[in-house]
Amino acid sequence: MNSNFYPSPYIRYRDSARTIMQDAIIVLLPPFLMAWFYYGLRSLVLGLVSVLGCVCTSGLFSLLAGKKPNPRDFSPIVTGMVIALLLPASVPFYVPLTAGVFAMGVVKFPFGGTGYNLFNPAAGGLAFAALCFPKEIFSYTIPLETLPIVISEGVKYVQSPAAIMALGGIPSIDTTEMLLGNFPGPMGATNILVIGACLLYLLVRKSTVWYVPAVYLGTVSAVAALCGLEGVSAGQAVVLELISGSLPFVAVFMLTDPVTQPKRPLAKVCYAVAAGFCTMLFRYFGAVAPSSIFALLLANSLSPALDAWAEEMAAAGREVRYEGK
Amino acid sequence: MKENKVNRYKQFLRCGRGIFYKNPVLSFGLALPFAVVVTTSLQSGVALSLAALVTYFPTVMVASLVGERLPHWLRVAVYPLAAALFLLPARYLISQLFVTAADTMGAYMSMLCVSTMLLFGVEEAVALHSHKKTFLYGLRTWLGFTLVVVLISLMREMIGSGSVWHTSLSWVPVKLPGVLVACGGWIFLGFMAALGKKLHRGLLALFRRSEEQKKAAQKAKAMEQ
Repeated sequence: MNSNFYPSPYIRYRDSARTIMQDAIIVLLPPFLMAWFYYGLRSLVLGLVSVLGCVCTSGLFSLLAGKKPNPRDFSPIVTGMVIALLLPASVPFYVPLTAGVFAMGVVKFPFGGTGYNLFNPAAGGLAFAALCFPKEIFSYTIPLETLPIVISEGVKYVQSPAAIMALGGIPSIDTTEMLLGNFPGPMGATNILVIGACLLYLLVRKSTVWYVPAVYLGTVSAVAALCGLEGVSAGQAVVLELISGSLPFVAVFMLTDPVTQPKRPLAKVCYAVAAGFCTMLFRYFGAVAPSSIFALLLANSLSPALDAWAEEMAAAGREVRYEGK
Repeated sequence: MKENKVNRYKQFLRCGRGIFYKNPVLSFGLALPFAVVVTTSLQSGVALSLAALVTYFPTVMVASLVGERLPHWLRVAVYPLAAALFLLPARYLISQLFVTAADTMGAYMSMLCVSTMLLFGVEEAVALHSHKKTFLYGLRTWLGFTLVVVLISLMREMIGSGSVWHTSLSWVPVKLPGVLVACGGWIFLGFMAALGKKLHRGLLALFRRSEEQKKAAQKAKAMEQ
C-alpha cells in the first residue's frame, strides 16, 4: 500500500491552480464574443489557432522535460486566449502561432513550467511578435467590418488611438464608442465595459485583488494628468491614455497573474506603481507601440526583489511591534 | 583504468577540453557580448572567429613566453596592449575578406583586446608553464569559441533573415527578425548550453546502459557455462 503522509492542519483550500485558470477562461470568453461581434468569425479562428499553438508547444516541452503532458493544466489555454485578444483581428495566423510558441517554449518552460515562470508568458510572446512583425501587429481594421477568414488585399487598415497620440494627434472617439470598444485597436482590449465586468467577476470570485489594477491605473492617470496632451484638458488626456492601447486589458488580466506578481501586498502596490510609471515612460519616449506589455515585463523582473524588500520591511515591523510589547 | 565506452567517451572529452568539454563560452561564460551581439549573420560569425584567432592566439603564446616575469598587476594592462598590436593585421584581414562584416562588428572588433576570454587565457598560459600545453590550450579554446559563434550565427541568420551567407533561402516559410536583436542571441546561447548538457547526459546514459547490458549478457553466458 502506498500511503502519502502530510502534516496537519488538513485544510482544503477552495482555490487551486485549476479553479483560478477556469475563472480566467470564463472571464476571457466575453471579450472573445465582443471580438466576434465586431470582426466576425475570424477572431474566433485566431483564438483557436493561438490556443492550439500554446497547447501543442506546452505538450511538446513537457515531453522533452520527461513529464507527461497534464490535461488538467489550463494555463496554456489562458495564454493562447490572452495572446489572441491582444492582436488585431486582421493579423496573419502565423503571428499568434509564433507568439504562442515563444511564450511556452522560451518564456515559460525553460524557467520550470507552470508556476515557476518569472515573466508573463503571453506578454513575452507578444513582445517577441511585436519585434518580428511590427507591420502586421500595429495595423488595425475598423470595427463592425466583418473580416474574411483568409484576408485579401481589399482590407482597409487604420491607426489605433495610441499611435495617433504618439504622433502628437488627438483621436476623436465619443463616450459611447469608448465604453463599447467601437474604435480600432487590439480585438479584445478596447471593450472597457466588458473588461470592467470581467474585473468585477474576478473580484467577487476572489481570484484577484482590487488594489493592483487600481494602483496601476491610478499611476497611469496621475502621470497622464501631470504631463497632459497638447490641445486637450488634463481630464481628457487621462481618459484618452486609459482607453488607448491594451492598457485596461493588461491591468485586469495580465498584471494580476498570480505566478508573476509579487506575493506581499506592499510589494504588489510597488509593482503596480512601477508598471504604471514604466508604461507612461514607454508611451512618451519609447519607439515600440505596446508600451504596457514591455512595462509589464520590466515589472515582472522586479517582482522577486520587491518581495524580498517587502519581507524585510515586514520582519522589521514585527520586530518593532515585538519590542514595543 | 578500464577501457569501456564511458571511459573512452570521458577520455575523448578530456582531449577536446575547451571545444566540447569546458567550452569557454558555454561553460565559463567568457566572451559573451561577442557571441550574443555580433553573431547576426554567418559572415559576421566567421569574421569574428578569424579576428579572435589573429588577436587571441598570438597573445596567449606571448604570455606563455613571458611567463611569470611580469607581475600579476601589470599583466592586465600589458597583454591587452599586446593584443591591440595583433588587432591591426586582424582588422586588415577582415576588411579585405569580409567588407560588410567588418562594419557590422564595429567596436566589438576592438573589444577583442579586452575580452574575458583573452584575460582568462593569458592567466591560464602563465599557469601552464609549458609552451606546448599553452599552444594546445589556445587552439582548443579558440576552436570552442568558433564552434559556438559559427553555430549561433548560422541559426540566427537562417531564422532571422531567411538566408545563409547573405544568400536567400527559399524554403524558410517565415522570417523572425526578433532573433537578430541581442535578446535573441542570449536565448540561442541559453538553448545551446542546455542542449549541450542534455546531449552529454544522454550519451553518458546510453553508454552506461550499453555497458550494463554487455555485463548482464556476459554474466548470463558465464552462468550457462
